[in-house]
Amino acid sequence: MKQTYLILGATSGMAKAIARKLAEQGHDLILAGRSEGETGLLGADLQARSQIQVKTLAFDAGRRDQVSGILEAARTSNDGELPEGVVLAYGVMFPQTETEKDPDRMVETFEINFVSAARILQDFGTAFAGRGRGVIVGISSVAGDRGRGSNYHYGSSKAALTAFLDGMRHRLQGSGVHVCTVLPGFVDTPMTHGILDPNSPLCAKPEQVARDVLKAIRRRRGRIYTLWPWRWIMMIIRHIPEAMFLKTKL
Amino acid sequence: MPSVTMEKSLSGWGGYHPVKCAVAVPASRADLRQLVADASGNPHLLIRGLGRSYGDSAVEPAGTVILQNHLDRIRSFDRTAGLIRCEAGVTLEDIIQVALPHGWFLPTTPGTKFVTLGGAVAADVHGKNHHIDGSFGGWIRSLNLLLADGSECECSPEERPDLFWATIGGMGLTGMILEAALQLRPCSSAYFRVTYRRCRNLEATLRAIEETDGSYTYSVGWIDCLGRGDRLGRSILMLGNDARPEDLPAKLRSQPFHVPRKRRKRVPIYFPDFALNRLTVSAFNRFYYTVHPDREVVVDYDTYFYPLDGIHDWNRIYGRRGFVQYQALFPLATAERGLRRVLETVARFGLASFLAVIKRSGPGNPSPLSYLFDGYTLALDIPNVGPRMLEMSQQLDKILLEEGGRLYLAKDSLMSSETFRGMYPRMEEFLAVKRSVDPENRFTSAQARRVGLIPS
Ligand SMILES: Cc1cc2nc3c(=O)[nH]c(=O)nc-3n(C[C@H](O)[C@H](O)[C@H](O)COP(=O)(O)OP(=O)(O)OC[C@H]3O[C@@H](n4cnc5c(N)ncnc54)[C@H](O)[C@@H]3O)c2cc1C
Ligand SMILES: NC(=O)c1ccc[n+]([C@@H]2O[C@H](COP(=O)([O-])OP(=O)(O)OC[C@H]3O[C@@H](n4cnc5c(N)ncnc54)[C@H](OP(=O)(O)O)[C@@H]3O)[C@@H](O)[C@H]2O)c1
Repeated sequence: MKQTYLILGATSGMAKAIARKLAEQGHDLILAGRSEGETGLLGADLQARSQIQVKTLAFDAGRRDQVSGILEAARTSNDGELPEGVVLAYGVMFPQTETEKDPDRMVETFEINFVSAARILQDFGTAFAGRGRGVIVGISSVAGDRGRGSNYHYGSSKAALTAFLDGMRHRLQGSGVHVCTVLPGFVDTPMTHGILDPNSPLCAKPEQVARDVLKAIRRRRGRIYTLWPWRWIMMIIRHIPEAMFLKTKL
Repeated sequence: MPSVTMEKSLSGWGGYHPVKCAVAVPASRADLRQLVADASGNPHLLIRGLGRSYGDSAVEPAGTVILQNHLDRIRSFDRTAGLIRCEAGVTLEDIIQVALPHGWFLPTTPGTKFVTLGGAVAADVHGKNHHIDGSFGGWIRSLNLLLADGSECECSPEERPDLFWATIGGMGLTGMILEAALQLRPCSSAYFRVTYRRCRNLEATLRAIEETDGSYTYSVGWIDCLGRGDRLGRSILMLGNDARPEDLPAKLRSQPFHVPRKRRKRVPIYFPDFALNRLTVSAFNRFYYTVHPDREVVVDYDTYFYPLDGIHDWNRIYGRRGFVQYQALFPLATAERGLRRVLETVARFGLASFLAVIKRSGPGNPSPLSYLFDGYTLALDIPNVGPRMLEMSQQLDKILLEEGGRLYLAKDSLMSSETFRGMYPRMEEFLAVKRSVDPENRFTSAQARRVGLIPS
């Protein structure tokens, strides 16, 4: 059935791939992004590919008014109806060498990746529960599974997001609302350019992540790792005894 | 967010002579503009598509190599007129996926769909229907360019035609293609009717091509380079026409634009150097002896146009040292002699390319650097065996120059600037346009410097 999904951070590498897959299945989309130009380009692309309806919204997670107003803005642009689902796909990862020197930048990581996200997820969770239906997909990260010396600023913002999504799923059990925590490992997107080797077998293409996400929506899965080996990799990393972990350089 | 520049070892598809390059991957138009505007940080620029050119067309150790992975958005698709406008990073595979269900196909296509629209325009690529439909550039209705001074401009056969035609086949040297509008061709299914025809030798091959080209939109032949004496140039022609729904087997007829998904294979490792010989020879022989002359089959577009796309990283069968492609074009008047001389030379060196692809080309277009004109073209792979390969390619170049032929930039790895000058008489015309839009030679490539399009 044709439904409407709101995508937050629509121009991110992963969101673009997810949007294209949703459009392929005929869903209408509301794209919320920081850059008007890029969001518009993606909107036209999706319409050219799939003949769906696309609306765009200006959205900066660093702006309080836009964060607290996004639900109403989405409803208004969708003819007064709440969208069927929301995909939260924005995030920042500043080099930790930078955030260690600049604590304000560290706090910005928390504000973007967690504080704004929590506000939005809370609003949608409550509204969807009231309606008795809805899909919430949050893109967190395996970096939140265990704090690592080289990346714990970003990692802890994602750990909080993961806990929030998991907790909300628990709370909304039986309400008809499906909350999915997506835990990507390495993905070849602008965020990781120059950091990851895109040819490594553990580095996913955004299209593979999108396929996993759509499958999770279809099967109402609660938590997914993508690519799947990350589930086992993180299981091992989580279980390395602390004394041993401290000796590693992760 | 400014793009990060990273160091990466790059080569063309032939894997010949990889070099370290500084690579940037702009995430947005704004990032891209910033990169180009920063003339002191990035004095020299090269746009790279999917790196399917065989040599060093998309390699530049002395500049910033820009990948257009994220500039891959379709701008508009007019389903009635078959006109599609896309950013240059959109791939031909993508265009097929979007257009085919609505009854449109690429107007012409190279032997792989894993190329970008930008790469297809910049090399003015050609396909099996060149003798009828010309090359890719003839189907471009307009281009949007980002020039060296940071300005953007629209050009077309009517508007700034000199810049338009210099960009077609211009190998990225006039500026970056941001968007291109492509006229698609209508089709009535995703399938093709293909006739195979065996030919005993070169003479028979050329005769069969002349006889059949009028009745087939698509035509190409495989030549067995190991054939000698009176079997020199023995071949199998693969002649095709669009299939109508009624030509399809009953179970496909209800969904003529649908092709069932196939699994892709991957070449997992680099092959040892000796492997190739036996593989390709036996492939040709198997084909040659099992194909019956007048057999006609119906195959999907992937099978017909992109047989190698089903095997990822197939270039690894040439081993780590890589290979070069040699695509020669001869004018009609000297074609038979020229082809014979090339085949004899290759056989003498025993350095095949056991398979070569032969095709009749039609008239050229107004582009000063576009490759094809009326004649015959022959493409072969030459494994990198070091000095003997260089010696052979020099001998082949000499034959081409003597017979009025030329080499294809998108395939070339080796030709000298003197050879290039001899083969591309309209080079000065191209350079005049280049000077007008890029006087500082910001857009470069290793190849452009080698062949003398940029002073080195
Ligand atoms: C298996 C195989 C079969 C092939 N068959 C054919 C064939 O039948 N006919 C044929 O003509 N070719 C053929 N080719 C060659 C291929 O079609 C061309 O080399 C094509 O240009 C590759 O496109 P790309 O996106 O990979 O570009 P790249 O190889 O990355 O770049 C090629 C050139 O295009 C320029 N370029 C790329 N994008 C832009 C842009 N946005 N703006 C300006 N310049 C740009 C680059 O600077 C470079 O000079 C084949 C290649 C392979 C691997
Ligand atoms: N890539 C990986 O390996 C990886 C792994 C695990 C998790 N993740 C997570 O996956 C999600 C998607 O990221 P990606 O990998 O696709 O990277 P990306 O392409 O860099 O996407 C990040 C997106 O976040 C947006 N954004 C940043 N700050 C914003 C703000 N203040 N307001 C609104 N939007 C903002 C960016 O917008 P602009 O386009 O305007 O800059 C960009 O579109 C992120 O949450 C990331 O943390 C990524």
